[in-house]
Amino acid sequence: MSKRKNTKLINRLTCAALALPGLMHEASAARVEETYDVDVQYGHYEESGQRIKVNTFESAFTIPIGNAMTSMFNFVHDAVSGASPIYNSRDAQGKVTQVMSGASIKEERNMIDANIAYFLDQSTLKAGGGYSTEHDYKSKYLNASWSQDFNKKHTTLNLSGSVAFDDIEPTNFNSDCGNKCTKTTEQVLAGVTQVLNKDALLQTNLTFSNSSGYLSDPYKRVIFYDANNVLTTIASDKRPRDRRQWAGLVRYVQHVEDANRAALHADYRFTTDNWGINSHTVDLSWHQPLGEGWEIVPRIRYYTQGKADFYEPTFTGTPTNTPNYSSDYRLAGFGVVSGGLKLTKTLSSSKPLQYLKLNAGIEYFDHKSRYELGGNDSGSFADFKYYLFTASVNLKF
Amino acid sequence: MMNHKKVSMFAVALFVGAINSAVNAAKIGEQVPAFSLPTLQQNQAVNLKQFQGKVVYLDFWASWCAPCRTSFPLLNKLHEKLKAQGFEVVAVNVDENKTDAEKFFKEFPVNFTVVRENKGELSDQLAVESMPTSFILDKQGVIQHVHQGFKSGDLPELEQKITALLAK
Amino acid sequence: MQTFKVSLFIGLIISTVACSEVPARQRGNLALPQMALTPDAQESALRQHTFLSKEAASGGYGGTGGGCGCN
Repeated sequence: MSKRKNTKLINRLTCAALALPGLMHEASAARVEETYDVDVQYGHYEESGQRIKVNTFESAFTIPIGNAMTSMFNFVHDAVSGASPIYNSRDAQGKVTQVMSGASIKEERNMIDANIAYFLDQSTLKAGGGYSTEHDYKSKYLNASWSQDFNKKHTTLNLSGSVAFDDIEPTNFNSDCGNKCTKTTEQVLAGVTQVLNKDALLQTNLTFSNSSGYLSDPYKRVIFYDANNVLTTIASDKRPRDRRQWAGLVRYVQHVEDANRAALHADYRFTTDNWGINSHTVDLSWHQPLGEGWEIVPRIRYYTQGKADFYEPTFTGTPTNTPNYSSDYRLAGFGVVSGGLKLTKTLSSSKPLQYLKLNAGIEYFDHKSRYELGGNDSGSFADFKYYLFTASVNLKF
Repeated sequence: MMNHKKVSMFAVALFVGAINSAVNAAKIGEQVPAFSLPTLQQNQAVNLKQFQGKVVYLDFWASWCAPCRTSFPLLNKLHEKLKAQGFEVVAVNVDENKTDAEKFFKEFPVNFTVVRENKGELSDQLAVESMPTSFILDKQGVIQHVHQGFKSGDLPELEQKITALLAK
Repeated sequence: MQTFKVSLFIGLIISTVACSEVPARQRGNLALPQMALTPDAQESALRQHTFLSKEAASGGYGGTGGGCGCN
């Protein structure tokens, strides 16, 4: 069997991430501040083994409008290059190997996003939308949120919803959807943030998302073998046409006065969906001020997921007997262990600048099937490592 | 386990209820209680009695309250404008950490009276529920207006109310 | 069953951690930038974007609260 070399097969890092864009804007001011913000960030993502590299440039602008409103504009530009896994193959002895795409091509994504927030004494209403485009994937989305304070601002109720309409036009003709596939995603969030005491905060969120339409990856393949490990069919990735996912998050923030006013952040999130994937995430960070405007933030994270019901590294049999099938490593069972460090310097002396913050951070990730909670004996053929470097400047005036 | 949860929730409710009943909500028409607080810079005692016969803008602020960054320069200008007519601003700092307040004062130096309370002596009595909160007192020390929060657009209305009280 | 276990876990946390009334003047610690639920919005967005691309799970994050309680 010849290895398929298609120079246009690039990892779907960018368009896959468009599934839930609307609710990413979590941290705008909770109440109106008559200040302008300019935030610019550069990010570099790189995988081991000559795989995917991404350079991303983001800029965000917050502009107050009158006494009770704030507007925010976001621009993102991603440049992706490198190889990515296309399928898994099985040799005569039954050993599985991951097969990559050939030489890579540079791919770009641009995104523009805007929202308006209206502040009342005890509540905030926000609405916005955006548009993201790359040569084979376009997404338009809308979102709205409502935050309400209760109990002398000790309790905040958060409700939000978003909807995204995606158009996928794969560069390789895909018989599943012809020239164009569509995908629609709706997400709702309900949560409560509670001030526990003068030093601690707890947030509990529940989200539900529903995706429908073409949810497969048009560039990935699934290989079917017979009982003697002889290849019978090369099929296109075929996932169900709907996905419903629940996520529950608990975030705890604790002030530690004695450690020079440090703050501990501890997140736990559980997700489950109708594809049979359950996941757990634990994300811990320690925000340590060092004096003279310096702050260091070490962080560790552990993520584990179980495999999708229709995932197998390779399949035995034929596609006609299997309603859904995928060998995408992102639907396999695995765990990711990561650690990172970030340094911030805040300069706040010269008016009219309220502050100028410089940030730089790096986080290393180790993705292994055997890190899955409860164990996993599928082998290390899909294991890889990656890192994320970020550098940013925040201006408030 | 279920009983333990119920008992602790009941205890919290009782506690919260007790706290709420202990504090009297400061209302328009009430007299501000006599207080004596030290100034932020020189630690000199400042007494409410000193301001008898003057219209006072009593402002509760903290270094961490973002609207206070807007209010301080604007109040300073207003004070300069109306002090000859008998208008005074008394800003009460509630920071738990004095150095935070001093840092804020260095960034926003003002000419009006800035005092400091230690454990909420005055703000608890006046039931200050959000930051910043300010009270406009007439020449007899009676609360005539309560203002919560501060936006630059609030100034004309405040100036109007103060001028009206100065005329009485 | 799983969701029930999780909500029980959350409920236990809430009932056992001390819950007290915080007067406005004592919200200074909660107002510190490192105490915000998301101290660095852009970094958080990029991290979540990365996870979404490499992992099957998504969601959970969003919403405001805590902080200085200013008007």
